[in-house]
Amino acid sequence: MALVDVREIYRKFENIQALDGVSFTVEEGEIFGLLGPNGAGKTTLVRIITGVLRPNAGRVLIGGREISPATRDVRRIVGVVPQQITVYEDLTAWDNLLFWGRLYGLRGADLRSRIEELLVLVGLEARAKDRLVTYSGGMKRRLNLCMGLIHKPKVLILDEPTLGIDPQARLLLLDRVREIASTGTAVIYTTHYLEEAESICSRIAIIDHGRVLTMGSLAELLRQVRHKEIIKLHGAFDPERDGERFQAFPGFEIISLDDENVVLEPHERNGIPGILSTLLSEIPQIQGISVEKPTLESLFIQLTGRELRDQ
Amino acid sequence: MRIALEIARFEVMRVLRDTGAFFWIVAFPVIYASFFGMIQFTGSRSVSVGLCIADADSGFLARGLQSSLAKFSMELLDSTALAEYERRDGLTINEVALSDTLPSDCVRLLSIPAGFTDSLLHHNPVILHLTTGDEGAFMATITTQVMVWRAILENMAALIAASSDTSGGGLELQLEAQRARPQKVIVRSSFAGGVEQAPQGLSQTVPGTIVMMVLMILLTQGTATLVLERKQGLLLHISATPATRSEIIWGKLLGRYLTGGVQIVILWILMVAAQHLLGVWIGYRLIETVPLLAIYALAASGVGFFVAALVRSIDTAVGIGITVTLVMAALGGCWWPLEIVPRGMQIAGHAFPTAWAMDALHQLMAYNHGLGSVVPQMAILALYGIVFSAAASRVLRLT
Repeated sequence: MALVDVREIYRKFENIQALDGVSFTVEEGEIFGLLGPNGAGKTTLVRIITGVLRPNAGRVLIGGREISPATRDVRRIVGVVPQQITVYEDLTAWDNLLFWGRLYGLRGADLRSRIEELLVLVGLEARAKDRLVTYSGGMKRRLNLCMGLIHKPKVLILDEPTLGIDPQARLLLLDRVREIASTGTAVIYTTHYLEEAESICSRIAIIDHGRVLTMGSLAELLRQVRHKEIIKLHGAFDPERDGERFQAFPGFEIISLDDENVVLEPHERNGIPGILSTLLSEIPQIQGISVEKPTLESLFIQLTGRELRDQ
Repeated sequence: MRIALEIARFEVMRVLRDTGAFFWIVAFPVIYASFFGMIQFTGSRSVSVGLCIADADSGFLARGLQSSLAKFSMELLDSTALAEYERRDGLTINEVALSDTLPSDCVRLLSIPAGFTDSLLHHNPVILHLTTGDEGAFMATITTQVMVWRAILENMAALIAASSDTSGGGLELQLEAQRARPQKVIVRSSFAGGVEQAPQGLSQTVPGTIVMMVLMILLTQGTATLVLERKQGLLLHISATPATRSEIIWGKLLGRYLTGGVQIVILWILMVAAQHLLGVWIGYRLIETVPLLAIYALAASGVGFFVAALVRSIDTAVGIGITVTLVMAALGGCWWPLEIVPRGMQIAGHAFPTAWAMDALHQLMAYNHGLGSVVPQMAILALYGIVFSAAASRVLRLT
């Protein structure tokens, strides 16, 4: 039985369908990546999985039991590291963890030893008694991870945990997430950094406009784009007028087109030189060309028509 | 419930560890109350007023006049002490009596001229000079004039009665005997409608400051803290723990109540210490103000939590917090007693919990009425707390 079972989740905010039938499962010890641009519905999904928001339809089972704002016991086995850094900056790391531990019912020596253990895990033991106003962004992120882990959760949900931190702190954090998963914790990791998803997730779901567009292991996803290079054109375009001009040429599909970029998917790999030659001679606005090999990003572009970084 | 208590405990701990908050919670109210208390009035229960006497006569009628003044709670500086001024300032007592100048250290001087007793005994007019150098203390000057007139009347009446006394023993002794007799006419004065004299000085500013500052802390610091927690996603994060929405709300509310309570306890201890250790009169029944202030903290935390539930930014929270506090303090009688404002303003002021709290504090501290007399005010304050807390818990959003 999967530790996390997300079944047909729908959620609407006024006229916006934030989640539109999302389903997936996560096993014990697995790191499951939710990859999507901002506004894709990842955070809404995280809120539903952590039990702070009710879906309009569908349900989330954690260890076979439904989670909701009313199910305190189920929430007790879930840990969350939110996108925002949620720490009390006027207090020390120790005081923050003390408070968070007490919310989960931890007390006394057990709580103290757990705090010490976590501070060592993230390398903050020497700064435990310093106020957080003296911490860097990366240090606060690491402390935020501790808050999600204080009660040894069976399911850990990380919502963009590396947002705004330096590469060194990011590598440290990713290492710790791998360690945590190796102990049997099921990890749901949302990100819009492709390389993070590629580096730590055993399975990935690409989500956009509230829907899972595709899902599988990295190898399975890359197989979908194995022979599909994409052509990226840079320049100054008029989406309406140039859209019609591009469509007049044979041999490719237009994936996306805006004022500065056009992304094309050739029908055949060996047709690329001919396409480039034609376009360069016929469309003078083109200032730059790149041909990209199949990657998770090209799959993402192919599926969504958008680049993750540009969101 | 345990989680709510944990959240409340954490709230109070955060406030106590904030050194900046200590200034606003304790130091500022003490400075504020002391400053405005001293400006307004002495704050003393008695109407004791200092008066120097320059007695150039020393006759028995002059002594009788001084004896009467001393009986009326005048703090007299007698002619013996005045002799010190004579030496120091280079003036004779007669010169002091006839001049308009005041000896140093004397703010009011009654000059009894030489021959005062003889003149009166021979039915000749006499002029007493009352000179004041304390223009700011208008009430004290008026009180002095009234007391001098009372003393003169008492002595003249006794002199007339003694003159017609045929029992012998000499006029001076007969005069003493007349003064010692019980008064035949006693005037009891009161304010119409059972209204009592409005409290002044520290009796007004100390309770007024406690009521205002507790509200200010809960409306500004308390509101801004909650808004910041919501903005930073802390409330949402807490709601992903086993804490339920109602536990979070009641924990936060209880935290605010206890913060107000801590402030009240500290200010109350300082108030009691000032009265009992330093001898500064603040008011009656200080012990009985404890349950009243505890209920007021409930009303203030309810109002503060309601405002926090409505506002979305810290700037708005602080702006609204200060504005609401100042309006409630001014109209609720924290700056001046509501007893002195027009009836319409008194009614308008009672739209706010501050007015009910000040009413009750005046009843206990200024008018020396028992706790039973403030039960209606306490009930209304409790109702404020319950209504505003319930409304806040409905409208508060954690995201």
